[in-house]
Amino acid sequence: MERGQVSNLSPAKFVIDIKRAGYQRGEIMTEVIKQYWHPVGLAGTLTDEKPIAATVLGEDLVIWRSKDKLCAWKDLCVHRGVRLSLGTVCNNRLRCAYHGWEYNDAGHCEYIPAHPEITIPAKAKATAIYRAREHAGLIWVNLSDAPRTLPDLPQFNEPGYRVIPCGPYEINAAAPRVVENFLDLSHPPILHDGILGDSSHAAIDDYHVDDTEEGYFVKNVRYYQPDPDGTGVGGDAWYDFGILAPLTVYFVKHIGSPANKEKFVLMFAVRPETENRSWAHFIAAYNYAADLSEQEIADFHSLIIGQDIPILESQRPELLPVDLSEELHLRSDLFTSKYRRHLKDIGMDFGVA
Amino acid sequence: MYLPTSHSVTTDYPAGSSISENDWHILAGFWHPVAFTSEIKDKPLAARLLDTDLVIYKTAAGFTVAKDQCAHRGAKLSLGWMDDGGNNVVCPFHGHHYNHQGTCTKIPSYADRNMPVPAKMCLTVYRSVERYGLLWACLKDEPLRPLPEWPLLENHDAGWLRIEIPKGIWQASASRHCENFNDLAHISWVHMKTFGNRQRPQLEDYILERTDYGLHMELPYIEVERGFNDDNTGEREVYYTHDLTYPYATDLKVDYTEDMTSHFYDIASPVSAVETAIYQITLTNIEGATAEEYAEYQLVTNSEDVVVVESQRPHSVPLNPGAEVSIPADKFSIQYRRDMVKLFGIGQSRG
Repeated sequence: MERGQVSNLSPAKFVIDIKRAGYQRGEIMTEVIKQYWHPVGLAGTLTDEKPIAATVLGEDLVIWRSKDKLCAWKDLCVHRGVRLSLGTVCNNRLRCAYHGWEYNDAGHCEYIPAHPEITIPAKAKATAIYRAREHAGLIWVNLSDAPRTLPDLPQFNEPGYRVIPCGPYEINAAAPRVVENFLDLSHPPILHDGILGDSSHAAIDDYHVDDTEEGYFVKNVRYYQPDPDGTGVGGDAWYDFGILAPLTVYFVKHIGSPANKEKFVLMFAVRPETENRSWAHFIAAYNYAADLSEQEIADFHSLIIGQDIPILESQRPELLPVDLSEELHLRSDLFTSKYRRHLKDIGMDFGVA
Repeated sequence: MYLPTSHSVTTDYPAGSSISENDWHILAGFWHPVAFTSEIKDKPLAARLLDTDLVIYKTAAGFTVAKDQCAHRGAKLSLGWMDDGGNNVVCPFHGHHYNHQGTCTKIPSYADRNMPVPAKMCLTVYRSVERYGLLWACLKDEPLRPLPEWPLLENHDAGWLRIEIPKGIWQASASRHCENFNDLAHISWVHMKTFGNRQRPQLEDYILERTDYGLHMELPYIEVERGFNDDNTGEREVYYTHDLTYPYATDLKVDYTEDMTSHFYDIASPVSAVETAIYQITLTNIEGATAEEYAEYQLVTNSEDVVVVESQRPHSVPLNPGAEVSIPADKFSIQYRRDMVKLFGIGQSRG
């Protein structure tokens, strides 16, 4: 099947020529979301011996490391269709668990143990090879031929910051619903009462959303938070939010005042496994609180997202409605309304209705 | 919610089946096991074959296999019970009684006991036969092929131990299971807790012949002896003889020495395109181990296979020869796939 043609790569104006791409009725179209990078796991969990498996946009992947390369392929041995992720890494090759076929990091089968002498068939190779990168403690995969830039934040590369990946958290909800929750400015005082807000002070000041070439941003949203960052020290928290990609967003949080040099930065990247199942990754970066252990930071995020998950899994319809005439939007929902409009503008084609 | 008022055309092809209509009508023409007879007690038993729900029950006249659907209001008879000294199955919904031929013998709601039972008040009964300790059923009136002929399993002296392996349900197609059971090159990779030998992955050319019932294959292999949790990991040369009866029944004979032989009978019964019931019987003349130990060894072997076979994609075996890459070791599966197409017409689109 010929894949879809993206005729314009400017963020606001993707146009997909569906007829030209030869789509069948009912086929999931993912040409837009495919261009972005999706996290498939913590870099630390990928050892030199065992591959990992992850599904992105319905595509089953095997991810493994050779001595000099990170590989992400369709999780299928072309011989008898077995998942390559059941195999092992040895001789700097990925070995299938079923008949021991060994694939080099270019995806070519180099060894068939049943017949050491035969010429390897030309078709004996990985059936699809994708781009993979290690960045900010995560492994990221891109399924497209025209990848966008890998999401990054300056703090991840600045001295003085500790970068700590947390998760992933499995959530039976559509990825855009999960991401929208991160951008929802009025839920913390209620849902995260006593930690990220105070339900007796749930009112939200009006805020402004900047609509720029780089995307949508909100600056200086303020809450009183009993425990803004896991340190347990309460105070006014000032947030700046940004949208880096349809499913990758972040905030920068300053405690006490917007001018405070101490920053807590959090990137939130959600892998869409299928339309109704997602895996949420956090990447936290702190330039203070050196005594807060990585485990304490992970526990803090587990606590917060543990409160979000039942809400996310209860939302109906499951797919995020990007048409603003559906559901009810208040002034405090300006940012999430913009997020929905943004998804609609770019032609988002996964997890939305 | 409702089906149309007009008389719909009745077909035995189950609505929404994951098996193509062409393949379903062919596979329905074969005998498939639906239960170990030892499973069938004094209650009706549910089974599923080719996306068709079945009820199995035992009366004085023998076993009956019928569609698991009461003729009155479609309830499952397998939820019911036996009555009249075990001669009638009773529907749990309104108590309709059916005999071994599926004929309704009693409608309890009739005020007038002499009122006749409507002629159409009967079950769809399928052809069935008991053999090898298994109950086999065929969903078509005329079976395409006879049952497998396994004389030793039917008739052996006390020197042989017969072991029924607990039934397995695999989330895989029967064809993938059957190919795996007859796959030689995987042994050195998958069976490292049991008899596989990682040091001997090479495969010489082997004997493969067509028979009037299926395929015959033989070859030697050097197993590693890891039997019954002992520490013996020495090598032993054995001789494998496979006899496959189409479509899914294999007799694997393993000769360890001239007078030490085991037969591993394996029949895959297609529940659906992606689920399979596995019936296995072991027959051995090797002394020194109990039936429980043999069964456990077979279950460990199965647990090694099921992980890879359930991972195979697509679930169905691709019949287009170019869809997967094959090597000389795959001589068996290439022939098996070809025969399914040529002998039976599997994989054709219905025109």
